[in-house]
Amino acid sequence: MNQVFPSKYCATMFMVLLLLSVSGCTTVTIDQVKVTESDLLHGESVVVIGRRTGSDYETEPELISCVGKNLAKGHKGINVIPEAEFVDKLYPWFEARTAPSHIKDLHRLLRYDKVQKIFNDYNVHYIIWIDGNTEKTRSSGSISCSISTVGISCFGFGTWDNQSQYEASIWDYQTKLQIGKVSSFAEGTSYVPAIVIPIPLIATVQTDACKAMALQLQTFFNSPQP
Amino acid sequence: MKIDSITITKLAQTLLILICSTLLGCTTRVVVNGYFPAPVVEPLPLTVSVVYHPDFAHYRYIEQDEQREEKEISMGKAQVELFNTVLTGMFEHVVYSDAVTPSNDNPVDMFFYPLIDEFQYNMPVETKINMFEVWIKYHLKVFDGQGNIIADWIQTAYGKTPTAMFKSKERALNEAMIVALRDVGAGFILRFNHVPEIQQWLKQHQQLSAQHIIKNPLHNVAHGMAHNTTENTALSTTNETVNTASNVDSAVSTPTLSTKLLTLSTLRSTK
Repeated sequence: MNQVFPSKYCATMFMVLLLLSVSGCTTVTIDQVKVTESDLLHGESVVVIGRRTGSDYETEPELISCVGKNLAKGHKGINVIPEAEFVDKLYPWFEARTAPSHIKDLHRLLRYDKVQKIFNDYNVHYIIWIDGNTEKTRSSGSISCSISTVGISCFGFGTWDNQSQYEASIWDYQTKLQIGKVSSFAEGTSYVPAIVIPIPLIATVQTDACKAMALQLQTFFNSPQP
Repeated sequence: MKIDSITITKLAQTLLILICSTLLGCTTRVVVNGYFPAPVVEPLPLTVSVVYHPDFAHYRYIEQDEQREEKEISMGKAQVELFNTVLTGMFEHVVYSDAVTPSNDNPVDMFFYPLIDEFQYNMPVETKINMFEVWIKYHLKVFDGQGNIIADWIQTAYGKTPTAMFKSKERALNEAMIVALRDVGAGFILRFNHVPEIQQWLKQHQQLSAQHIIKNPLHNVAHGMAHNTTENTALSTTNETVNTASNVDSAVSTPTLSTKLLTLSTLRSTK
């Protein structure tokens, strides 16, 4: 009996770890268009901002923050100015309805000394505008749970698809040109089988789209020279 | 048996109280709270008196539609904070009054009197899009120093925020409200000197100020206007200056009414 308990415990732990390590599958496709060379010198920064002009969707702030954090990671880490800080500093010029939608609008805005000074203080070289969102495209199945004297038990199966579609436009602040675009398309299916307890196998579609886009953007800019 | 029936009655009463408390607890209360940054604009050399009506300063929206979940949104404090920040950035001197009443002791150039006309919100469950949305319709009034109306116009604001896992309805509504308030601030800053009546008044005021400056140079210091010898450049009419678009950079650095108007006009034309 003393030998059975540890083996049962190990088996349960193994099952839990296996379930935790398994998640829904996500497929990510990245496209890139690069018009000119994009060197990022030591000390220069980029700013990642979300476009918020869509009428029925909004680029999620957490996606922008995720791209920023991942751009700053690793040996190719880039100086990234947080979106909220930059937009606050330049209020009211980068609000949803007032932000420059074309590079020529930015060019005009920069004729205002106060705005230009803030850009120079931050040592901004590139502005990355991200537009898009993640949405649920399909869902099916059902799970029912019941309460009895022995506890709660669930039975059933649920599944849903998520789709992420983001496009990043990269503007060069110094040359006042749009120098390229990076798009990220991701889709994945999540499953929740429930036999006594529900086991969620979630596809992290938005996070995967963010990480893939950030990785591509890191390679887009030539490494900073120390 | 008697004790049992009393116990049952008490239990029923407790249950009823619990149900009532739960139902009352369904009211969503949001006290809008957020940060409003100072605007990056050149302040106009004017003294503006701001009048916040108590209904505006303590504005509270209570949902009357029985079909909708009961909501109470208090936004008076937040909108006062927004306008205080925006106006302090837009004008060199901002004072506060209880009413649009001219005073000989503390003369002002202008009174600003904001009101709320309408407020609406949408929840994701109502629109079937994953978005909390807010619309606010402001009625903005501007009076001259004598209390005569110069202009009144409608300024709309829109704010939205997407749904997110673990984000409460209260937090999402608060975020949408902050976006809407920032939107009205931005719209007000960019539109202010494009309201034709205000544009006209500013031109007249500038001419009057110019005449006054010639008569009394000390007025410059007292009135917070530019006090260097280049002041005379400000006496040229606004039209003359506006037509020279290539002078934007140098114009912005000269702290006069005409050049500040030019700055705002040029920047507004980029939007």
